[in-house]
Amino acid sequence: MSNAISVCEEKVFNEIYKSQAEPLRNHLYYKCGNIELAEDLVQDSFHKLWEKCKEIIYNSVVGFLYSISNNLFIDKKRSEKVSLKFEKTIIEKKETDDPFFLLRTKEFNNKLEKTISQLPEGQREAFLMNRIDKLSYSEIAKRLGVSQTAVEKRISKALIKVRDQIEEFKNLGL
Amino acid sequence: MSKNEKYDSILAKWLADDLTANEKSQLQESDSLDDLEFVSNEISSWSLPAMDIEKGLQDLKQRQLDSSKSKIFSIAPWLRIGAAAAVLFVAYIGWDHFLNTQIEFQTLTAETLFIELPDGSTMMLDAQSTASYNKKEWNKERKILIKGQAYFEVEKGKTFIVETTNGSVTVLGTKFNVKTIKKDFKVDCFEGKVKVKSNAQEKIIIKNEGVKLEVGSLNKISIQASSANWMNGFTMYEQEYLMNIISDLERYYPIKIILPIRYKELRFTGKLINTDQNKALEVLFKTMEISYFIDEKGNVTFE
Repeated sequence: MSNAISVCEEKVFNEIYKSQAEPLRNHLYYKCGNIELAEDLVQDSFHKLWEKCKEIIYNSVVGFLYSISNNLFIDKKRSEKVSLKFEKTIIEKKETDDPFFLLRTKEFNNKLEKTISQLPEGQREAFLMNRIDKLSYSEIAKRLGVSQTAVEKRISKALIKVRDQIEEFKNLGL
Repeated sequence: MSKNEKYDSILAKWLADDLTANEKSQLQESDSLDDLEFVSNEISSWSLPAMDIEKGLQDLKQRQLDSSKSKIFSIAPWLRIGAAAAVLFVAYIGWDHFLNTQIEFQTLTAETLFIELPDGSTMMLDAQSTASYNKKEWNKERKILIKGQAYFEVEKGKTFIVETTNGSVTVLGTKFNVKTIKKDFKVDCFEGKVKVKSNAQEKIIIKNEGVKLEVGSLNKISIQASSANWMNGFTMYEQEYLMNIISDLERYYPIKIILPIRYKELRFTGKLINTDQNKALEVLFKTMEISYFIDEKGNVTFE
């Protein structure tokens, strides 16, 4: 019963942790908006991976991690309301010919943050995995276990909702 | 694709910078790309606090050391076995109380489990499968109940029996694989000798032979592999009914396939991978020239 690469090997396991822990944490954060919970779930998921390291084929590791963490998340799910917060560097350009200079503000960014928090979970996850973690559509599809078309649809819908905030913001005269 | 779906796809491609200059200018005309570009760039510049990877790894190591002491079983307390043996359920992990009770294992979708039996025999349980045996009785009789699929490597000793709802497998010391999913029943022998009983029939198979239950008849088949393929991440099918293949796919992937009656009797020959959902579905249905749709919840439907 041998595979080419063994997940039980410390070097291999550590490499997996180093490359997958943060994106996984972020993905869970996009779901619940709680950093501590997200990090706890990451640790739990990797512990499970270690327990089952003999049985998980190296190529299935990412799929296993996302599937297990999703199950653990469903168990621990608390409130439905999600409020995401990101670190931002806002550069307020003072050029007079910048059409967006009114929007390069903390207020507008917070508005965007709120809009994203209120997106349906599926749209929110896919959109942020693409924008923040820079994952490709096919990588996202594989992790979420859906088709690439579904990913494109979710991201497109999220993008439109986010774009619409510009009109709203302007109309409210802020 | 409906108009909306097409627009979604074009917009997503624009975001990934995947449009031709022509497509881009077409989109430019019908939509304000500047606004889209602005918000998508703003959001792209956000970040989350970096995760302390070294600390995380250290904490994990400590946790592994702490739990190394006790043997870990995966147990589903709510699972019921309809077999004759009296059953006691155990919800603890790592206690010696186990010596007097029934040991249960269960795997989830896409999960496999390596199990060491009390006499040193080992088994590998495939996805969505269950196994159960009585630890106390093991010295008198090596008997294990399974549902799903499992590969065994049995130490020489007293008779070793694998019980399933489709039949039983008796061995003395050997390497073999048992697949028992709904009415599908297959046993492959890789070393030694195995006696298979099913539906009032009996067949003895040796290395490189297998048996398959087909329409109530237990038939001998020859096998190519030196070990169970599913453990290497794929399954080979030879004129297999689509219905049975669907059952396998649903064990390895979090999907639900509702196959129309007219497709149930179709057969497929080929290799399907167990570790890449999109690829497996594509290979299967493209070969059969069947078009399918899969939604976000993993439901697969057909025209």
